[in-house]
Amino acid sequence: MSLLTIDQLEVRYGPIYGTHSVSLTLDAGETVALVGSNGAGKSSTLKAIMGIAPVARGTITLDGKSLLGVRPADVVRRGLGYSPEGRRVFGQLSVRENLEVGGIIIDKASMRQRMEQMFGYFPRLRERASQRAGSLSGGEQQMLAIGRALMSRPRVFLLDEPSLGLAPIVVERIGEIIAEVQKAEGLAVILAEQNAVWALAIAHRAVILELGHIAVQGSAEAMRADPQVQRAFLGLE
Amino acid sequence: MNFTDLLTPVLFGQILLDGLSVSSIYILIALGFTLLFGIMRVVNFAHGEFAMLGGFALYCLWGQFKLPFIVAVPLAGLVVAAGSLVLEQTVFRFFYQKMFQSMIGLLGLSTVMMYSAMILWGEQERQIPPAFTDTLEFGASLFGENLLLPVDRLVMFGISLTTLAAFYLLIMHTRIGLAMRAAAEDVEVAEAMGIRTRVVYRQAFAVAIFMTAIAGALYGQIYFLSFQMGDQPLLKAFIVVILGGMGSIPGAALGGLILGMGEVFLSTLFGPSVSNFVSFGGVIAILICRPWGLLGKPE
Ligand SMILES: Nc1ncnc2c1ncn2[C@@H]1O[C@H](COP(=O)(O)OP(=O)(O)OP(=O)(O)O)[C@@H](O)[C@H]1O
Ligand SMILES: [Mg+2]
Repeated sequence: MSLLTIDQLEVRYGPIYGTHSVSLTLDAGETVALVGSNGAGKSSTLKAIMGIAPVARGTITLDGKSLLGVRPADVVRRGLGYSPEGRRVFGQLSVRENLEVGGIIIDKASMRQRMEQMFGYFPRLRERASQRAGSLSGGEQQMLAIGRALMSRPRVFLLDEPSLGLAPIVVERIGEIIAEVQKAEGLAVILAEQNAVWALAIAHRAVILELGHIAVQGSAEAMRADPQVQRAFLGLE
Repeated sequence: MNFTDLLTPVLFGQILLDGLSVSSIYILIALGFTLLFGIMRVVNFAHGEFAMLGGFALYCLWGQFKLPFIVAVPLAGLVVAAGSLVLEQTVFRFFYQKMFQSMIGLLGLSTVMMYSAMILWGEQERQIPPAFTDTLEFGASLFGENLLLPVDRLVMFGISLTTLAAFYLLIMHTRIGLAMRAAAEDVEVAEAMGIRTRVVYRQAFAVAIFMTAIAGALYGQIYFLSFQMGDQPLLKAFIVVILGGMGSIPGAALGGLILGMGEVFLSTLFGPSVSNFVSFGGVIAILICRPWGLLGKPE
């Protein structure tokens, strides 16, 4: 049995469809890329898992237990971590306080320890620990949003559009850190990305969404080699 | 008449103490108001009525049950805050994150609370008996005349300052405060980090009403107690929060200090009409130049 299973998920905001039918599975220690253009339904899928977006049909289960109707605050307690699109760090709070919010469900002693670990993964955040998060650069804010989500020691990490607006070298660094955390903690990751080239480079498997449906899926390696995928999604001829 | 002759060091000292105690009361009321707006986005037009309830609670606990004053004041705050959770559950929570609806709804609640108080306690104005009647006198050798500090005012200032300090510690140095600040910035993300917003809202509500009721108790003791006394505290909260910036906690502190000090200085030296003229004139000027207030953020 997979860690996380999504089956025929339909997300609807009133009359507007977020996704029509998305199915995917996720195992511990693997990264699945969720790729697609604007409005394909990537964010809607992640939000549905978190309990933020309204699910009209389909199922989402973690360890075989349904996540439907579970409030976001309790989804976190089941072992999910979420880094939203656009980073959305708490700009008025310091870097350290942002991490503390991320660790609000664990006790204070393990929080201090976990924060040290985060500072190990992201040395830049340690340097800026008492700085207001709103004053960080885009790349630093993305690191903080990731660190904040990982504070609660999730088993499943939902990462939405981390590459947006960042320099290639920063994007590359983020990929390395994800791999590092994954290796150390057996983390399962769903990476929602428009940057298909990068996402397919760091993921094990990939699901390509088009207008709320799954267009293609398979191992990232096979997809990188698939001429149709290359033409349509990787911008290669 | 010369201005510098008028403002002797002794008068200055007295105005300062008066100003500080009035400011601290305004700050408490305004903090409650700004907290409700900053976190739940409700504009609490019934705010003054919670101040009134604080006044009546103090009247009971101190005036009738004769509890020690410094116990009666915080207890009055607690009683009103605990009781107000019923209103939170039955009225307020339906207006969370609905700014415009909240204005109308809570204006209605204000009227209901006001006239319920009238039915319950009657129309007459009451006095909360003074807690202390002594006056400290000192400084004659320094200033040529004695500085008179009414103990009453000193105790009030002490109580509101302690409450403010406790609030500061709660907001800045506890997990409850951290959750409140996070929710104030981005409710959706706060919830996605594991913060139960329903709980945070209830806590913020109780804290806001606690501070307001304490301030109302002190306010009622300085002036008078009646079912209509809520108007003034609400108006002050409004001015302070507009001065400082809606939803801004440091803004409420700054605004309260400016309004309290300004009022006391101006009304002592030039009379209450000048003081009112200047404080409303100042608010209009600020709304024109900086509509988001001194420390607020443009929307
Ligand atoms: N809160 C909402 N209310 C109404 N419609 C929404 C909402 N959020 C998303 N949608 C709609 O759902 C569809 C899918 O949006 P979604 O944000 O999931 O796409 P996406 O793949 O994340 O796109 P992007 O790459 O631009 O982030 C879009 O048509 C969008 O307009
Ligand atoms: Mg998106």
